[in-house]
Amino acid sequence: MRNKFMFSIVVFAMLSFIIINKNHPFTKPAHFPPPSYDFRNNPLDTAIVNLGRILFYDPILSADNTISCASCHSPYNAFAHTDHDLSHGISDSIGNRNAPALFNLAWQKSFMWDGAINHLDMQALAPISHAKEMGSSIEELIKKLNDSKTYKSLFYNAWKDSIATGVKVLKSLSQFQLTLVSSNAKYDKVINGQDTFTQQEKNGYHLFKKHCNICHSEPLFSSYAFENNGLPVDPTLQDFGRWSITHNAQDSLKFKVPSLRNLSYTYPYMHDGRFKNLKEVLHHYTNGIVKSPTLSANLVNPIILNPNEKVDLIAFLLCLNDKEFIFDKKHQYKKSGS
Amino acid sequence: MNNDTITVSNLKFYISNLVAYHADSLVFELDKKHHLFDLSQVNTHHLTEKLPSNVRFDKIGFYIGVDSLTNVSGAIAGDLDPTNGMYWTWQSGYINFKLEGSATSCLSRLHRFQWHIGGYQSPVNTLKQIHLKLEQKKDVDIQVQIGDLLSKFDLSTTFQIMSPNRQAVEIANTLPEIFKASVDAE
Repeated sequence: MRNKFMFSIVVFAMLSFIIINKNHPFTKPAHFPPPSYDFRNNPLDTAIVNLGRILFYDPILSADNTISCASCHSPYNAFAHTDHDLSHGISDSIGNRNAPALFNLAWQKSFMWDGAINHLDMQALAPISHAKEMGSSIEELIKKLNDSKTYKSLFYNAWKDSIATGVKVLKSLSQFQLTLVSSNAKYDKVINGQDTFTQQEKNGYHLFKKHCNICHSEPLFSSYAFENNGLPVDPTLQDFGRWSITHNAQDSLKFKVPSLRNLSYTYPYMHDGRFKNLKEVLHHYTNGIVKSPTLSANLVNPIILNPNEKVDLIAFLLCLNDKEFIFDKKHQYKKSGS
Repeated sequence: MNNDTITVSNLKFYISNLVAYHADSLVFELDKKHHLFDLSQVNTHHLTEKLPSNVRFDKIGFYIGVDSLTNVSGAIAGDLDPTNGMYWTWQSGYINFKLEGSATSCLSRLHRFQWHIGGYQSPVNTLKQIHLKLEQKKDVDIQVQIGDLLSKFDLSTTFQIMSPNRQAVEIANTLPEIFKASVDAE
């Protein structure tokens, strides 16, 4: 009798899990590790994701209503800013770094090239208040949102309370960004047994595992650690990366390893967008490494690739482009009324 | 001592994890874990809590600032809301103690000084624990002697602190000295 009772509890728990998962805006891809983001403090809800999505595309976030998150994080560029080496914001200001692509954020523990931000919820505060990005403040934004009839009903639908607050705005933006999961590239399909690599891609995968995988680790294609990848310092920027946050000499010239997913959509490359194409990037790793005390241990020995190997490696890297993600309508601009 | 005319225009700080002891054993913990004191908001000057009638205490303990776990826990409503002017936007972390004003000795624009003391990661950890021995009463008064704090630093050189750094640690280290339990002149 006792055993039977326990069994029925187990069945009930499993059923409820399946039901919740079906309508959930976030599903962990089977071949991904567990996410780092703690969803218990911000459980995803379709109405909140919707509010976050509308906020993400709304220039109301900037002081003069000209710049939205999407201005520098365009969906068609995997939420990066193609063609601009350095990001540009309010009043045509030019920043110091290349706008990074936004996807698979649930697996990242720190944000920005130097890890200045320690939690996804707090990330939006930085661009909102940066003088060269949106030039506003969270306080000013809250005032504007509370003056808007449209947002009153959006906040009510999402949070069952029409008043906008800092926490609600930040958590809504997090919720939308957490749904930006890229896991349907050719690579993923091969891993899941739905596709096969060509011989050239196979060769490239082999080279990738030999030379790149320690930092750009599968399946996220980044360790999200901070590394110095041997770039010469740009004298016009004097950017020492992680050092500017920790003031620890061991962090000098280290930047967060970016994911290689969607790389065809996210050019130019590196923290300052100095390389226009993948050929330049590979040339840096084979011929351009500058030795310094903080150089990544994985780059101390030279990487040698002949021209054919470079072509093969690029063929594999192109398998990391996730077209379904790039053109997914549910990530794109949506009018607040629709 | 600065031979100075000093005006304080803004004073805000977090009081966290307030507890009471009797004979060095913990007898009480305040429910509200983080309280934002704001000089300009009189209602923040009081922390009210109904104690069980049998609780006797002779010492209280609390922190000035926000602990490191809370610092990495994302957006939190209420006193920890990032719209309270106590959160850094360009580098994550709470400002534990904020003091602003002007002083004739300040070599800054409009003689202003701005002390935004924060930093939760070693070696710039500015969270400070304070213990005060006191007499149990209905109202326990705590004084914050800002004059004592200002007199320990040279405002002509220490006027702009807005990031986790060495100067912030020096000021944070002084904070435990300026919190005093009031002694009634009876």
